[in-house]
Amino acid sequence: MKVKKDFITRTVAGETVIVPTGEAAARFNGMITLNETGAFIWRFLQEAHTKEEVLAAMLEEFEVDEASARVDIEGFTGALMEHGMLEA
Amino acid sequence: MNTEKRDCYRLGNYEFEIRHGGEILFPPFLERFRIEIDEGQNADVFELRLTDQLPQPKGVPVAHRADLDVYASSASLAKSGAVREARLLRFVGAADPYGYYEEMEEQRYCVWLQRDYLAYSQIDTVFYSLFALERQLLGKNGLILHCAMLRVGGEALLFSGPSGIGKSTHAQLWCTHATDAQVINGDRALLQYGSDRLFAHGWCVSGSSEICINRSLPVRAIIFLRQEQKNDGVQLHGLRAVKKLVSQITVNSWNPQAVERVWELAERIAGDVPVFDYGCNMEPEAVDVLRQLLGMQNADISGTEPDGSGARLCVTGRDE
Repeated sequence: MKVKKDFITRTVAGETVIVPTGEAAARFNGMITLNETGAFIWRFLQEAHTKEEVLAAMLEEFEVDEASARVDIEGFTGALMEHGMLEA
Repeated sequence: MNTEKRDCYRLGNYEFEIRHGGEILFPPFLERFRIEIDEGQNADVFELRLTDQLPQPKGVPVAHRADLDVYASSASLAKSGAVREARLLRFVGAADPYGYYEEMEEQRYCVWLQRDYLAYSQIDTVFYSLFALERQLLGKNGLILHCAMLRVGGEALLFSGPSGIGKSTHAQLWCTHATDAQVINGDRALLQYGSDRLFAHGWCVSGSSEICINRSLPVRAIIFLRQEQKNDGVQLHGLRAVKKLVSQITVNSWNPQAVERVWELAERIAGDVPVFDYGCNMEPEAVDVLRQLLGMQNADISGTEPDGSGARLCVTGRDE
């Protein structure tokens, strides 16, 4: 899975926000603020990766147990899918 | 084509000329921005024509809105290879468009007004939409902010926020209860950097305020208004300030490069100029409280710190 190219990423004073453009802007009239973990997953998915690859990257980057990381990834990618921000 | 008339204008540092046959009347306030430009000078040229039938749009459709269809085609524009845009403009709910805009070559544009809509040409929103001014100005690092622009002494205060929030009303309060204050524009201001300082330029559209003065001033602060019973506010920093700015800037959201550039400029502005969130009533005290707020050296910052646990996204609407 991979983030769709219609979304641009801006980081301001350490906070990351996703802004829809193009066709996505017509569907989604808002912007999405990410916390640190979400921003990490978002940047990782700028290239296509499986959930297992995301998990491996998260475990390397953060002090988090595998079970918690899996819950985070499922929840976050599920939300991205729901908002039409990911390509399968 | 009859193009014997040539009218030139300046908005901020953007100079352009409109060549036309004289049948189309321009909005009256545009006259306040008239300048003289010698032929051959480096200004954008718009050829404005009246037509019975609008041309077929050039390019592939990239955006559709109730009042606008945008088309894009790749072209070799000198060295840039930039995408050229064309636009069809219509009234919301109307089946047929009233105007068409097409980028011909670098700094050359053709604009057509359909003859049936000639009587509407002096309406600001109808006329200015024909020229894609926000696109031209972004190319000059300019942003159009939805705000009331107030001169206080030799600087500008910009009161921004959604329509109906009380921007013009609050600006008028300052004229009544503060010394040396004057409304420059009740609806929009053009923001551009000059000599490394942010300037606000009076815009050619006044909205319902009918106040439209051609004056440029360095910006003292940008204040986002809310209606509250008690007058109180905080200075915004970082992403909170930038999001407020972007929410009230005209953005061509179908164009990723334009969106990136708006954010770059908004981030620079938020770093250079104090941005405030101000809840206020429409009493005279609202002016005094804000004046004190603007004079504070270290404003208290309130608000919820982001929760760093887990991966979360927080969705906010464009106007929040």
